[in-house]
Order: sequence, then C-alpha cells, then structure tokens
Amino acid sequence: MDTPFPIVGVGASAGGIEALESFFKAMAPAPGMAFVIVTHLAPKRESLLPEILARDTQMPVLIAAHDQAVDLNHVYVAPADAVLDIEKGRLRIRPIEDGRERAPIDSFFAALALDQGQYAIGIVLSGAGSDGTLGIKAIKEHGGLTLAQGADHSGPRHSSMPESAIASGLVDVAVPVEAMPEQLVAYVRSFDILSKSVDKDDETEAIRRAICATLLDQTGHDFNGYKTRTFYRRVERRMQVLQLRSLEAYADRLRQDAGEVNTLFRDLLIGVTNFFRDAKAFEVLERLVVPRLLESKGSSDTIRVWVPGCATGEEVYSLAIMLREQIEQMRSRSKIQLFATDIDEAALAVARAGRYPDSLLKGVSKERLDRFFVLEGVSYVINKQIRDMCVFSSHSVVRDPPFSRMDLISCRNLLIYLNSELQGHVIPVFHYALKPNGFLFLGTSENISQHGALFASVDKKSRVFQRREDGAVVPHLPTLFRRHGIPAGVTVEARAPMGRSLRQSVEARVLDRYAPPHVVVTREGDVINYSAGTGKYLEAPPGRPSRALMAMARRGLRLPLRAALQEAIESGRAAERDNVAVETEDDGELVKVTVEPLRDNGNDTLYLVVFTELPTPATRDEPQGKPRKGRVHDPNLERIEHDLRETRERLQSMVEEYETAIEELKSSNEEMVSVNEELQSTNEELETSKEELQSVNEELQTVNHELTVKIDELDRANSDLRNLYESTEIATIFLDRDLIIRSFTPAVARIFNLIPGDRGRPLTDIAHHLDYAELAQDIQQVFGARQPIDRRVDRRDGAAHYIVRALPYWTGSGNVEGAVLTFIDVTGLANAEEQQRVLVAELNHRVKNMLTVVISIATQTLKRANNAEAFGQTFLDRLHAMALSYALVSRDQWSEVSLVEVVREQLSPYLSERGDRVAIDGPATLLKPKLALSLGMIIHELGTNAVKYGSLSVGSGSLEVAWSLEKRNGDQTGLVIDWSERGGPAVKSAGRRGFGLTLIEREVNHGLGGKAQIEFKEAGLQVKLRVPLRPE
Amino acid sequence: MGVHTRLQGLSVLVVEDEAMIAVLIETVLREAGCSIIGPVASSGTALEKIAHEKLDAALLDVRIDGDDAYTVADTLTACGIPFVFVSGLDQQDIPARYRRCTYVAKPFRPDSILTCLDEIVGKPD
Repeated sequence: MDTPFPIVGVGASAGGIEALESFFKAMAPAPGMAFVIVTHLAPKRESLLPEILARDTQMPVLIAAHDQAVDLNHVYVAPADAVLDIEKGRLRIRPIEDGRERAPIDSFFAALALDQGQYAIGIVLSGAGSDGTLGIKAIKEHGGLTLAQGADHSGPRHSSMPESAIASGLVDVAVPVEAMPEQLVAYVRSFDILSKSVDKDDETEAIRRAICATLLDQTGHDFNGYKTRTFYRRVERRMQVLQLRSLEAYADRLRQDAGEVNTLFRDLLIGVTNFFRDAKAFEVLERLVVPRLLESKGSSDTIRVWVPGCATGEEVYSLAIMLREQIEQMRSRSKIQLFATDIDEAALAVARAGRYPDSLLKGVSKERLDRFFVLEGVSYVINKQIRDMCVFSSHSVVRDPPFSRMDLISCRNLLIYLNSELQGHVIPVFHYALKPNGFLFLGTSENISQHGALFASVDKKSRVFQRREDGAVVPHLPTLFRRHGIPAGVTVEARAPMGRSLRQSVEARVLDRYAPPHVVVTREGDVINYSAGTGKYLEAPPGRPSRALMAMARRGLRLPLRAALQEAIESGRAAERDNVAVETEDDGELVKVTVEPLRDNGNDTLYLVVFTELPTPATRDEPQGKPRKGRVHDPNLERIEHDLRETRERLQSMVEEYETAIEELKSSNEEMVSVNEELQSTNEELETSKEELQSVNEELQTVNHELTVKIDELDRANSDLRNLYESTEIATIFLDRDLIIRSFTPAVARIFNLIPGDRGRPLTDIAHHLDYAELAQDIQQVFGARQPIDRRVDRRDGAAHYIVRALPYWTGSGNVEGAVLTFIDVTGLANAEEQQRVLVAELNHRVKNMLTVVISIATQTLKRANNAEAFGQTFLDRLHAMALSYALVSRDQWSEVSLVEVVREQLSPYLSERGDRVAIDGPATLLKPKLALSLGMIIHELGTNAVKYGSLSVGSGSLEVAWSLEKRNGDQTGLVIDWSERGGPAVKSAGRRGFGLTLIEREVNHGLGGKAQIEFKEAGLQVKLRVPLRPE
Repeated sequence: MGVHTRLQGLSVLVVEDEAMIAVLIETVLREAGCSIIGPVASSGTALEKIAHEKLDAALLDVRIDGDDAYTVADTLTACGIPFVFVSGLDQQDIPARYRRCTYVAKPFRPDSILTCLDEIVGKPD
C-alpha cells in the first residue's frame, strides 16, 4: 500500500470544463495516479463537475472532503468556498469566509510541491489570468513534472493561464490536452528509472563528465562542481520526460540535440527563487552597502535601485522590504525607488500583482509578513507602501538602452543564462548605469572576473561589487534605432578565431609589409583587428585603454573617419574621404580614408578602414630634416588651414557634447518608457475597476427594481390595512414593548383621547374614560405570559361597558414585539344582563312573597276552620282565586291589568248562574300588578261572602259593583269601588266576621294604603274601597 | 313558647307592605308575647315610628313599595335598635354592606323569626 504514486494537480478556469472532459476521455481507466482538480468556482455555488466528469471516466469522481486520503486512480474536485491544501497525502480544506480566493491553483500546487516533491505533477489548463504560474514554479523546483495546455487549432479557449505558465519557461510539456494522458502514463511508468539507485561507479562518473563537457561546450558554464546528487536527479527527470532508459542514451541525445542541452541547462539552474534568497547576502547588503548608500543622501534624495531579470518579483520585493527597514532604522528621510525589468511579460504581470500563496512565503519572518503584506484568503499581497516603491517594466538588458544614475543594481538571476560574450556586453552596461561608487549585487554562481577593471569586490562570497572609477570604458550603448535581435537566453555561438593556413600566412605577410595600414572595426567602431603600421594614424589615448577607433584616431582623422564609417554603415557600400590632413608625431600627412563593409562568416557586418597615404606636393621640394610643416608657406593658406583646424576642433567638441547629451536623453527616455508602462498597467487596473463598477451598477439596478416592486406591494398592503382599520367598529390599539402607540383604529376615539399625532407616544400618557387602573399591569402580564387577557371594564361614568382584550403582538419570527388592545362595546349586553338580573331578583322576591302569602292564608284559614273538609274547600278556593289573579297579571307580562277583567274573572263562577243579578260598571281602568292582585283577592272574598251569606245566597238578591276615579291629595288619582248587595237575607251583626273581611281591611288599609269602609246596612252589605291608583 | 322567654313584652316594629305577610308575622309575634308596633307599609311611616315610639327590635322587609328599606336599616342601626331582615331576595342580591345582618328568608317558619329575634336581642350592644 505504500508504493508511492504521483498526484496530479489540475488547474482550470474559463474554458476548463471542455479541456477537462477531453482530458479524462483520453485517460486510461487505471492510469496509476490520482487527480485533484482545482477550478475558479463562483462562491457559494456547488460544483457540478463530478457529475460531468463521471461521464467521461471510470475512475470515481468525488468532491474533496477534509482530511481525505488521496487514493490511487481516483479523481477529487475542490469544493466551493474553500481553498485546498495537501499534507502527507491527505487533502485539507480551508473554508473561505467571503469573496473568492484569487489564486487557488497556485496555492494548491505550491502545497502539492512541498508535500509530494518529485511525485507531484502540475497541469495548467485553459483559463484567464495567470493563476498557476507560481505554482508550476514551485512544483518544478521540488522536482515534479509540469504540463500546460498548448495551443492547437482547438486550443485552450482562454489561453492566458497556460501561456503565462509556459512563458515562465518552467513547463516541461506543452501539448494539446488530448495528448497529455499518454505523456502522463509514460511518465508514471518511468518512475522505475528513479528507483534504480545510481551507483557512483566509474562508468556513471565518466558519463557525467561527458554530459558536463557538452554543457560547457554549448553554454560556456562548467557544471563539474555542481552537487552530484542534484545533478543526477535533474538528469533523471529529463530522462523520464524523454522516455530514455539509460544514461548513455541521454548523453547521446544531448550531443545531438542543442535544444535538450538548453533545457537541461535551465533545469540545472533552477534554484529556489524565494523571498530573501541567500539570507547571508542580504545581511552583507544591510551591513556594508546600505549605510554607505545613505551616507551621501539627504532627505530630498532618492536611492535608485535597478533589478534586471526580476521575473515574478520576489527578489524585488525582498530588496524593497530590506531597504525600507534599513531606512527606518537609520532614521533617514531618503526615498527609495526600485526599477524592476524583465522581458517576460507574463512574469511581470505576476510581479505587478504582488500576490503570492502563503506556501511560497514560508521563509519570510512573521513580523515582515504582518508589516509588509496584507492577507487575502490564503495569499499574501504586498502592501501599498512597498508596491509604490517599485516600478515594473518590460526591458531587455541586451537590446534596450539601460537605466542610468543607479545607486544599486541587483542582478541575481540573469547573467548565468548568458554566455561570456553577452556577459561582456552587459557588465559594462551595468558599469555605465551605476553612479560613481554605486554597487552591483550578483547571484551566487555569477562572476565578473573578466571585468576586474570595472568593478572592485566588496564581499566576494556574497557577490557584492562596487563601481570602479578608474577602469571605466566608454560603453557601447545600443542606440534606440538599431536592434541586434539577440533574444536573451539564446546561446550565441562563440566566435571562432581566424584559422591559420599557409596561404593565409602569406597573405598576412603581404598585408603586413606592402598593404596600406588598415584596421577592422565593428559598426560601433570597436577595433577588432590591427594591421601593422597603424601607428601613424592611431595613438593610444591618454587614460584608460580603449578599443574605440575614434578615441585612438589622431587629430584631424576623427571627423572624417566617423563620417566615412557612418556612410559605409548606412549605405552598405565603401565610403571615402580624401585629402585628410593628419597630425602625426613628426609631421603632418595627407591621407585618404576608405571604409568598406566586410561580410564575415558570422551575422555581423564588419568594416575595413584603410589609410592610404597620399603624396604631399611639398615633400618633393623640401629637403629632409626640415621642420615639420614641409609645405608651401602661404600666409593665406596658413590662415585658412588654421581656421579650418580650429573649426574642426570646435566641431569635434560640440559633437562630443551632443553625444553625451544624446546619451542622457536616451536614459531619460528609457525611464519615461518605464513610467509609461506603469501607467499603462494602472490604466488596465482602472479598466478592470470600471468593469467591476459597471457590473455592480447593473446589480444595483436590478436590486433597485426589485425594491420598487416591493415598495408598491407594501403601499398596497398599507392601504388595505388602513381601510380595514377604518371599517371596523372595534376600537384597537397597537403598542410596542415599551407601550408606545404604533397605530390605532378610529373607533378608539370614543374611549381614549387620541389624535393621529399621538402615534409614538406612550399609552400611559394618554387620558381615558375607563375605570381601568390595571391597564399597564395587564399589558405587562401579556408580555410575560404571552397569553391574552380578557377583562370587563366600564366607563367611569358608567355610560358604557367594554370587554377589553389584551393580546401579544407576534412577529413572523415568533417574537412578541408588542401588544394589541381591543375594546368591544358590550354596553347593550351589559345592560341587558343587568336588567335580567334585576328581573330575576324581582321574580324571586315575588315568588317568595307569594308563597309566604299562601302560607299566611293557609294559617289563617286553618285557624277558623272547623274541620279538614271545611279548611280544604275554603283554602283551595282562595288559592284558586289567587291563581286567577296571577294568571291575569302574568298574561300581560306583569305590566297592567284591566280592572273590569279582574272583577269579572273573580265573579265568573257566579256570573254564569246569576248573571242578570250582577251588575258591573265602571270606566276602563288599568291597575298595577300589586293592586290587581289585592283587588282580585278582595273581590273573591266579597263574592264568596255574598254567595254564602249575602245577597247572592238567595234568588232575589242582587249585586252591584261600580267604580270611579277621584282626585286624591296632590296629583294622585284614586280609585273608588262600591260593592252594593241588595235583597239578601237580613244582615246579622258584624259578629260573623270571617277572615275574609279582615283580609279586605288589612289589604286595603295596610297593603294598598287606602281605606275600606264596611257597612252592614239593612239592604245589604255595603263596602266602599278607596285606594290610590298609583302607589305613593 | 317558653323557649323564647326573652321575647316576652318586647315591642317590635314590623315593616312589611304585603298585608297577608304582615298578618302572619303579627300572629307569630303575638303568640310569642311581643307587642307590635305597626305593621307599616312604607319607609316613611317606618321612620316616623322609629322617631316617636319606643322600640326594642324590628323586623324589616327589604323591598317595600318597590323601594329598598336600607335607609330604615341605617336609621335603626344609628338608633341602636337591632333588626332582622325578612326578605324574598336572595342574600346575594342584598348589597354588600348589609349582607352580614341577620336575615330570615321568605317563606319562613314561624320559629325562624323568633329565633332570630332572640339572637339579636340577646346580643350585647
């Protein structure tokens, strides 16, 4: 289970799905590796990639989970909203809170490189931007394999990501995506090459030396001193990529393929281009260089630093950070400006962004990270202060005019890629670019031993040098208009020296002896070959040795020489200058200067400068030994010649001045170009910002529209609510938790003195008409118990009655945020209840009274009865009479009863038999219930009496009942009833008073407040009753 | 009869507007040896009697002439004359102030009247 297998990180963005599908379709079902896919997903969107890819491969495709082991022949997809990491072969997920992680691919690849070393494989597929480039670098540095999606007719849809990776020079295999699986499978199988331990036996040693010789031959660099183990590892990796199984085969391949030599060369040179590489070297800078730099600087001065070959910017930012720290420590007010250049646009883009995954910053101290970087997600971005110190631009040290007036040049990753010829070109350029006593900082394996005249060593081990003033040479600066066309990194063949053969020797001798003196110069005017006898025309200039023809030319020769050379260069044909007067050591001479283009075997054009001596007219006449000027002494001629000389000299000076001025202008121009590039990149950033703002604007418009719709809905709902309020009769108040009135229905005005402006005031401030002291308390209870409370409450003046209901006000989220009070008017109901209560009480009272009356009558009747039978009859009789009266009264709901009805009712038994003998007469009179009942009883007694003992006991007797109304004291109306019996038996004395008459008297006198007059007249019984009609 | 010896010779005001009930009360009292003041059928007459006659006790119907007799009750209390409510009202319908007074419900047994009278007369002032 522990056989290691490669883990392939695949990074893709726009257009990636297409690429991934093609990739997996072409992949074998069990390729012997695992795949981890990282894409640029929109945050909070789940990836559908597993489903899509599951169609294209038999391998299981899963979303990566935290702490998941990476298994062979499995595919894992990075989840949304997270950054993927890997440790000891297990995936780790780091969630991102907000926004997106800008470089998830770099981040994962860097982690993969650190964790899996040579078993890491990184693939960059279609996408925009440059995510993945730094990650590829990391994988390569740790011995892994790197691939990128190469362009073909179906190419990557978005090529910027793979292109950026390829441009870094660190991609091993750039092929279309369908070709990748084959390469990968072959690579995996070739891992057994590595498993063979490399014995350092003689045979292997010999092959190694042979490889180093090939390298030396082509690149000019000696790798014999290179670390052996690393050397073999790099070689083996190339063997893996090329599918070569033996060292000899590889050595052979190297001999045949110059491209492979270059590739091996680059691989061998891969160091870790991290931040603060070679800490010791930085220390030297800090200790020795920076203080000296600052010595001469005032607060308005700027320290200018140039970093050619800056690549992805780690070097530049390290320097900037170090300088910033030092400046602050020394309390200097000087400013710092770094110019960082490279020809690799893609790398520059990465450098400008200044964003590095945290796995590539492990060497930076925490203080520095906190102080100079801003953490975004899992990447660190260089902060504004440092970023503003650096200007990045595209520039070639070989082709383009250099910067100037620099205090420090740090070039640590460039020279080693150049052969000595180019180095010989570049080092003087650096010399020119530095200020007097400026410093040069090189990489650990770089040297400038050939240019000891230009630089002095400050610290040899750390490769810090200082510009020498004495040995300087006029630099041969490339002009803006002429370009060599040598791209950096391409090796230039060393110039083969001129071979020697017999013929050449002869020709050389002829040239030496008999040919006119001549030199061969380059187009810059550097002499590369002298013939003999040039001493007359050329002189070593005072000061530093130089190969510049112009510097060596004797007086009078310079101008015509320069002109002739220029003409020859421009026209491509021979140019002549005749009759040039040269001031030689002993005398003057006339010479003809011829400059002719000379095509060499190589690419460059050289120029042959021939000095042909012209016979002077004066020498024939003059004897030898005459003073110098052997010429005709013509005062005019002399004067003219003198003027001419002076003019030429002045011209010469002016030309030199102008040349200097031009050089300075060129430098300024370069700086301008650099600034321009910066501005362009700022412009691009602004463009991006503008696009982002536009898209935000669109989003805002959409949101705005939605909000408008919502507002309309809200208005409508409010309107409905208002209408509902106004239509309801139920007084309702809405309160919040502090008893502040939020709103109320119009009906509330009857109870509380509320006006619309009272919204927002506490309820307790408002006066009300209710007898409800516990209002506030009840509401608090509702808040606490979250249950409604009902209470019967009356107006203080008793005019109305309400049921008050207090309810909790629930919001959608289930919180009680207030209370609702409703007041239901139940006055009518209350009144009805009250009335009913009163009636029932009244009824009770009457019934009980009636029963008591019955008991009373029973008791009295019993007293006077002789026997039970007599009692029964009389008693029942009386009871029936009462019942009749009650029936009459209750028939009309106990309102009023007609008197005539009462009389008739009670006398009805007698009316039927003796109807003609009974006369009833009187006005229609209404009686109150009590009066009706009493009179009912009275009439009954009188009637019974009459029948038993009175006029109705005999057939001839008669009865007359008559009544009338009279006025009583005050406004009272009185009722007078006359009961007249006639023709009855002779009336005995009042001795036979039964209870009946007592009853009548008591009823009338006591109960009704009236008067009863009972007379036993001769004719018969006469009773006169006087009672008030309405009680007093 | 011998049970309520205290009532002998007691002069009792009877306030009752229903004639037959007054008769009943009178009969009961007379048999117990009381002397009867009244019966009166209105609060006005009752107050007159209180003012001018010597009373030992009173029997008071709560509703007289459709009105309440509570003013009479107050006057009796003020004069220190004990009384018994005789009423057809349920006790709950009697206002709270008077609910604790001695009370005989109609219809009543003759004995109830006498027992209550006995009670109130026997109470120390």
